[in-house]
Amino acid sequence: MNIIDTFTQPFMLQALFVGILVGILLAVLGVFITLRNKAFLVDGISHGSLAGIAIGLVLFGQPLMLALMVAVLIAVGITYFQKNSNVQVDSLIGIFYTVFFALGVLIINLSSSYQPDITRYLFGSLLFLDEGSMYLSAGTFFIVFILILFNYSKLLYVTFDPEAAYIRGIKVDRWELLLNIMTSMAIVIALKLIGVVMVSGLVIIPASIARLLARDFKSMIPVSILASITSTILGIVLSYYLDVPSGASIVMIAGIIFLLSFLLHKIRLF
Amino acid sequence: MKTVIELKNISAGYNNALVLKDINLAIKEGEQLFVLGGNGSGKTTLVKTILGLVKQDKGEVLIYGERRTQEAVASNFGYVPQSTSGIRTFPISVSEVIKIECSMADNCPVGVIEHLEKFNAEHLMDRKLSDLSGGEFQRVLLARAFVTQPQVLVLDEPTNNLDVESIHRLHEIIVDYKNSGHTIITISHDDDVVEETRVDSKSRVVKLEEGTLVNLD
Repeated sequence: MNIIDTFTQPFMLQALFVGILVGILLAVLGVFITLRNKAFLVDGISHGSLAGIAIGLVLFGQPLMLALMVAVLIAVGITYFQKNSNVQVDSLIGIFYTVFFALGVLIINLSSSYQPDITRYLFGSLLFLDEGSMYLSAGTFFIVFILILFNYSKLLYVTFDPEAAYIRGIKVDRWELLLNIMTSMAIVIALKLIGVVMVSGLVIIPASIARLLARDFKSMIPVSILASITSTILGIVLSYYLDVPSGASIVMIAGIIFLLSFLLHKIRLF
Repeated sequence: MKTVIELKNISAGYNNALVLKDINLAIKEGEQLFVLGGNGSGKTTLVKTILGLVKQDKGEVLIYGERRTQEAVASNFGYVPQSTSGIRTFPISVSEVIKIECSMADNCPVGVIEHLEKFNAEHLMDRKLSDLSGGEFQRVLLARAFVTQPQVLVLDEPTNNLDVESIHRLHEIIVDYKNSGHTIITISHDDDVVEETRVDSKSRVVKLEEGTLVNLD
């Protein structure tokens, strides 16, 4: 099969379509998340959503809606406990992460027939996507993209200086919660392609590449998107030819680009 | 003159440790007030309570006679914070910092360059915050607080890192600002700030001692 035939197969087109949309969303949200020093939150939401996947598969045979609900629940829960207790946010993320991941593992073990599906959700798979995934990705992309586009200045201000944003009348808590919910939505649509364990890589690594190469916040977003899309496309191709989980190959490519970017950054400095 | 801010029996703190104890204070429109005190006396907690950044455990904060709301704070206040370590590393230029403040407040009477000139910071406009010295960064924070021309300016340790020339310039700006009817609250651990930035003998000085307010003037 030549390369054109490979890329015109329906599952490849679906993987590329979902991959590019997910890559753009995670890249943009990743810039906000890493600048707020909330990278660990992504790990918490993605790992914790395993509980939703497990419940969804056991009860309905369709995991994404339950994964989305659990991911949003984790985002809201962490925000609530942060505002209403003196426990550090990193500790709260760790609590939600491990408890919900443990719940997912318990459900999987009590329902052993679903283990093959769960393995795919952990590391992602090209063959896992379907027409429904495309619609879900496109819908989520549209909603999150519009929310960011029309509220860019407020999100920027909340990320930059929450206290000053509050004094300018911005409801900081609400916008931080919205950012966390949008992150949850983006993570869930990425789960089939990239997997629970790997998805945080595609949020954090492209944004970190952008931090190394871009001069300011505005240029961080396009650099992060470029790094993310490059990683996703090359990772999907690698996954196909090596027959390995797509999440692992995408994050590995992103890691290599990060290393190259770091070298470029050092050369530019000295 | 109208009372802009009134604190009634305010007690506030963090994690069950009381920092402010039964504070009563009224600040008039057009007044300059200094709040002095040593480290840990509660100065920053006091201004953060006025602004709503810290929620009081007891008492109430009134702005123009009404219970404080975030909207009232946004319409009337500007703030120079003491601790800004979190924003120093953010990849944003000086001019963007001023522009975003204007876009949120929807009220910037002067252009960015013209405004930065007042603070001798126009040459910094394309520089990133992380590339600024401590004194340059402080001038940018001051410029940001003044740009929307709020009725009340709250300056927490405003002379931090400033050289003599910059302090003199700040004094001129404060004099103009107060003489145009605005209210200025200055917080400092350093008594010299009173002499450096005082507009006239009518300026009031109070001191916080272990969370309790003592009138000096």
